[in-house]
Amino acid sequence: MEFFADFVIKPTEQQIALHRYLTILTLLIHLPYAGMLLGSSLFSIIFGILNWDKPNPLFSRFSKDLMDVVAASKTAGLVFGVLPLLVLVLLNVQRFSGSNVTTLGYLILAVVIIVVGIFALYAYRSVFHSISPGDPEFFRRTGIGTSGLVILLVGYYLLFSSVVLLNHPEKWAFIKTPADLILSWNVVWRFLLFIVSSVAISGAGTVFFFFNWPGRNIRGENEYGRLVKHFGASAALGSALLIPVFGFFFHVTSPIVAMSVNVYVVWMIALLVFMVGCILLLALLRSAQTKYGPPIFILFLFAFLMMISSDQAALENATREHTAALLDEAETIKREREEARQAAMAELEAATPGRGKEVFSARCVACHRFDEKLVGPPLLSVLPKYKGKMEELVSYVRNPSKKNPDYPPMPNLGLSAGEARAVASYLLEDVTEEKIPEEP
Amino acid sequence: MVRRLIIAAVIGLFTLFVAATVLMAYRWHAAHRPPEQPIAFSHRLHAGKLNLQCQFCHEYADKSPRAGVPAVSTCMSCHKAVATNSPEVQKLHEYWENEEPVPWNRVYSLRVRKYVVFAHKRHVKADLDCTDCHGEVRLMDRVRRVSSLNMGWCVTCHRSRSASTDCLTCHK
Repeated sequence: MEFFADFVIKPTEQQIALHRYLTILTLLIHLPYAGMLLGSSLFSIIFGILNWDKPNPLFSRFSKDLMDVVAASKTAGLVFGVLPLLVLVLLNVQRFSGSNVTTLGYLILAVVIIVVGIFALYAYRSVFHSISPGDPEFFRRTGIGTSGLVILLVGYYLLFSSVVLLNHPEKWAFIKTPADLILSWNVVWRFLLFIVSSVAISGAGTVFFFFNWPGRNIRGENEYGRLVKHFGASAALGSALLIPVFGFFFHVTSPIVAMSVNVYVVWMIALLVFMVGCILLLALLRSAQTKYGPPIFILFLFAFLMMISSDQAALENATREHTAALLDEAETIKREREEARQAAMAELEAATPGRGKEVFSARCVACHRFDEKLVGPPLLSVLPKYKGKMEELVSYVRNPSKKNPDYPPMPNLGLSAGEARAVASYLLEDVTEEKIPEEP
Repeated sequence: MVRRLIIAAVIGLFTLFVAATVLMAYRWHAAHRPPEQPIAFSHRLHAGKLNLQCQFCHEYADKSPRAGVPAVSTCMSCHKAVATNSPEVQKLHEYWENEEPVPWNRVYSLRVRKYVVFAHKRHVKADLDCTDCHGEVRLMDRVRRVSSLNMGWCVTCHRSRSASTDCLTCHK
């Protein structure tokens, strides 16, 4: 996107490395939260409908508690939901502006839609507090909740479309309409993978936050506790079992440029972590205790980290040439700036009064006098040919070559650009045949 | 008993897909990894920093079905004198002295070459840029394949440029 390219500082190698970790961290903050918001809203709406169909105070309470627990406060929504997305946009703008794939516009649109979805789900949450349970305004509440959920899903579908496209360089030339962007098996599988991961982490999170979170323990309430535990653990287990299936299809449809052995290995680690989580979920369902809540939730978070890392590795593989181009640009800019700085320094040094004479008496007098032959030729005999050719003299002083067979070759004295310029301007301007400065 | 069966089934499911991932990784490594080359020739240096044009070396791209790799003599026209101290250039000199071609490994090959007729010439004449299919080679040290070479990919481009999509255009 040319529009952004003008505003962006070209990243250097260190910045790109930093960028990688920041992106992983940002996604690790955002995606589990987004998944839990999505999954819990879905659960909450389902239980709301179940309650409407056949009123049950447990269902009604679970429907409300789910939203209270996950969408804990508006601050949480901003910190885990909105803020990381804005950071992600900024990171992507710096990383991909000026590239020949123009998905940044879609990315920004997706972020806007997601933010609207998050706000709608928070509105859904607050409706619970303004209306008593079992109210006649069920349709209003469910309407807000469902539309928030759908908006969120549309936003994530678009987000994945725009990010996944970066992995498909061969498609870039053919994206003409939004339909080209969103119709891709790879995106479909990625999206399904996100949904089942969301439900899995929501299920694990339900158990963890209802039983193991300090100050909120419903273990004493037998009937409600059993409902929460069984529903949470079953949802987590059922969806976690789909993760390897969808992940398989996602990887089969991923382009080979995005692949490397790392991508697969990290994905395998994620699968193994999910497997351990599933076994613990089975143990949790069987036992009367809930001590497995925290390890399951932490394992699932770790599996999220692995999935995100695998994805980022794929993105880096696919955009390797783009990164190389960015680094080249950054290097060119740095070199030009350094050259300009050197030149300015040299000018400054050359303009300092007395500097040329100082350098001359420190470095040159060992071999040169003005009018007598020493190791090197008398300068008055050689200077006239440099009259008006300051640059030539500077470059000779900095990098001498053998000129006159009567004298030994002049060694390179290692003068800086500024010293060479100062001494050259001293020799060309202050020294003339009529006016030989006092021998130093 | 049932519980144990369920646990075994869960472990079995994950093991199956971990094994599938191992197979995918193996297949990628065996068939799709960017190939090692006998000489660590850098396109980034030659096509990028030195800005040599593609057809300076791949001289048949606009004249023949195959773009061709350069003869050792083409390399030597510069490397008789340039960078002769580099161990990689010394490898080149060895091939030159033994009068052998450099056994470069193919990066792009149609697995179904038997059934598909592809000509570089026509595509260059149709004003395609080399990068349209080969990507930003000037930014690659070791070249890798960036397009799938799938039929869908060919057809998408043929359609978008109103080139023929008749079967016999490519399949003889």
